Amino acid sequence: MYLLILRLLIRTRLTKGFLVFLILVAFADISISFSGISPDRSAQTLSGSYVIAFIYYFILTMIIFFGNGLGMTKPDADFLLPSSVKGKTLNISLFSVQLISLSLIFIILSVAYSFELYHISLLAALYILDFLMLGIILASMSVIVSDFDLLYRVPVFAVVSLFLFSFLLKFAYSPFSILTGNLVQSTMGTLALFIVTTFFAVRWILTNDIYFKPPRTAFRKRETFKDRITFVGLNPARAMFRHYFYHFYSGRPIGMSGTVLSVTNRYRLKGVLAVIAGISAIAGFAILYSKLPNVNDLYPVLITLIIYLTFVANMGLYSTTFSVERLWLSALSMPFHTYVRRMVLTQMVQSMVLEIPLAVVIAILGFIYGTGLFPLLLAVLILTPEAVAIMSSLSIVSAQPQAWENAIMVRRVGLKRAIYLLPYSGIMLSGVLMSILNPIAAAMEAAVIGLVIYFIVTRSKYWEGMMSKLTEKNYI
Amino acid sequence: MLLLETNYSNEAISAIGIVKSFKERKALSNLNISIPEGRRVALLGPNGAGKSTALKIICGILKPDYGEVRIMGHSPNSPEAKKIIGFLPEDASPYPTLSVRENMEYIGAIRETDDLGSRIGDLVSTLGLSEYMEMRVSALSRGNRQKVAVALSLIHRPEILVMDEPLNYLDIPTQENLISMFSEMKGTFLVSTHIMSIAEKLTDHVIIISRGQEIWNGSTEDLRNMGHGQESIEQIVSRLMRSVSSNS
Repeated sequence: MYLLILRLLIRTRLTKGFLVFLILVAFADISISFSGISPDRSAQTLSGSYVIAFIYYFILTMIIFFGNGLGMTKPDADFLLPSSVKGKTLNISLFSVQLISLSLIFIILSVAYSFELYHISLLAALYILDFLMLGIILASMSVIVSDFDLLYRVPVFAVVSLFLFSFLLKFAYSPFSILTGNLVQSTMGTLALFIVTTFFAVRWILTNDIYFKPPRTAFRKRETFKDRITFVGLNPARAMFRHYFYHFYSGRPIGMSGTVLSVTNRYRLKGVLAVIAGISAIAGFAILYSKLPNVNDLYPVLITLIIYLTFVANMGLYSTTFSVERLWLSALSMPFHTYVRRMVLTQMVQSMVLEIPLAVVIAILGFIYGTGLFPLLLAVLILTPEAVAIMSSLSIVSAQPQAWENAIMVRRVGLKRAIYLLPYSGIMLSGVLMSILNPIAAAMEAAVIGLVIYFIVTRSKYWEGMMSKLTEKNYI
Repeated sequence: MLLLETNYSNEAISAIGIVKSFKERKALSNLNISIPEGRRVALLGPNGAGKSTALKIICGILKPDYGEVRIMGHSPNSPEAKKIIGFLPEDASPYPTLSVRENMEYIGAIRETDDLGSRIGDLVSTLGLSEYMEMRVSALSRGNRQKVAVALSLIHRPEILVMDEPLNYLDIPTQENLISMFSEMKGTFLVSTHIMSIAEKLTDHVIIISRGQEIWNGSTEDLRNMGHGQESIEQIVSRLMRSVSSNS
């Protein structure tokens, strides 16, 4: 079972950073649900968490409608590789990647919610069902819209968006009307959308003469054992794994000459601001109209939103070559380890002053909403490198890029090891503090988050080595 | 004009009335290109003439504002066209985080290459990449990266090969190896280049475009015959391009 899950993960386009992000969000939710909130919470009080899911969902829908699948990179385009569904070339490996990665997002979220709702079994079942259906709806929509020109994508997207947003208009059958207290109706609305999209997706697949087979060579049986190890789809799988886990994070410090620097930065800032404005507007509406009954529920929304926005802006600024798609991709993945390893924390020491205002803001938020200590610490620890990264990126605009790059190189060596351990030990420490308040939740959370960060973030070579070994042993 | 009478039964590449603008700037205006199967054509033109744009539109990477492209009768984005076309863009980027071998195996597998192992072996030995096979592409020199890109564009044995400055960054021995490899290959070629000597070695037909429009189309022999006295072929091409500039 473990290997099966591992195998699925590797064959998806989910990035390592994104998995870390999902786990962080899921466990942050769990932590908040356990701390200071009574066990008889109604579904209404969970709406703060559900808002986050809604934002995710809306962003994914936009990507489905206006992108080439979840990721079409320059090498993909250069060598005329098919995107997952574009142009009716539905390569099953790429299609399954898309399907699984989309579903996984929602499976993970639904598992997180089921933890939260373990004491309300019917409600938990509805949540899980909703999320699974929402994941499959996205995959189906990606198939359906592949046939549409932009001209048709826009109105269809508008209709879908209206349906998603209709909970704001008190429409009980909107998939997200659970936010306004309509539990069963929202599931029915989701089910209806699920049936319609699945029907059209299946019909599309059946009526279009498309490739629906794995690359022949990848699964061809070879004569010798050595050949089987060398191929049988292993190298493409490993290639995919390495590509999608590292490709997006290999950005160099920006700028090679003054002209390029100014041009790229102008575009980056414009794109980043547009995305921030868009997401803020969506989140603002969602928060405003969801009529949260308990102010405490705003806290996780705000914190997650701040982390998310900071991250998106940061990634947008760091992208070596700007594109809207890359920015969206950055919105989906959180390369926490990249910040740790490459640039961000090397700037941390000289930018310590920057984290103080952010910590103050979060402390004030924590004070206002009276939440536990752990979310506060977690937010500070996560926000610090993010904030520093943003400020460092902005400062590059007026600095000499070459000098900056040299500075990074010099500082990187001496501080590397200590910096690696900083977020890890900080989160573990916060777990210890939290355990005084709520031992079970804190222990579980600290252990999982600590281990994830320790193994994935600071031990990526070990992780990669382990994956290679599994690959060689034919498990993957 | 002997070449025109040879046995070209089908049109391999057909681009009719192609118009493409980037914001205010018109890159291609009513460009028509028709290349029969088996012909080797050089696409020449000054900087900014629209050569790379034309090639990208032919390969389906860019969509024209107006006009239609067909690759052996298929849309350039169809699976049928993708199977038979190979494209080498000017700034081709293999996956930087994969090794040379992984790049070849990955793209070869996705493109369903028959007998991939021996195909990789052939390309590696022709391009002199054997010692770099386990290195990540990001660690390679620009020249070696270009070799990898050439290998990736050829890996599925394309019938139609579209190349944008294929010999850029390559050392002279590799250039010679590639030229002889291309000469032995069968198929339709469309090669964009600035260098006439390369065009002459790789192709037998020339299309000159300027400001997004075709200004001359014919065999290399015809082009040479247009010379006055001792005028070299480069001077002839240059004169043709200049004449368009001065007319407009």
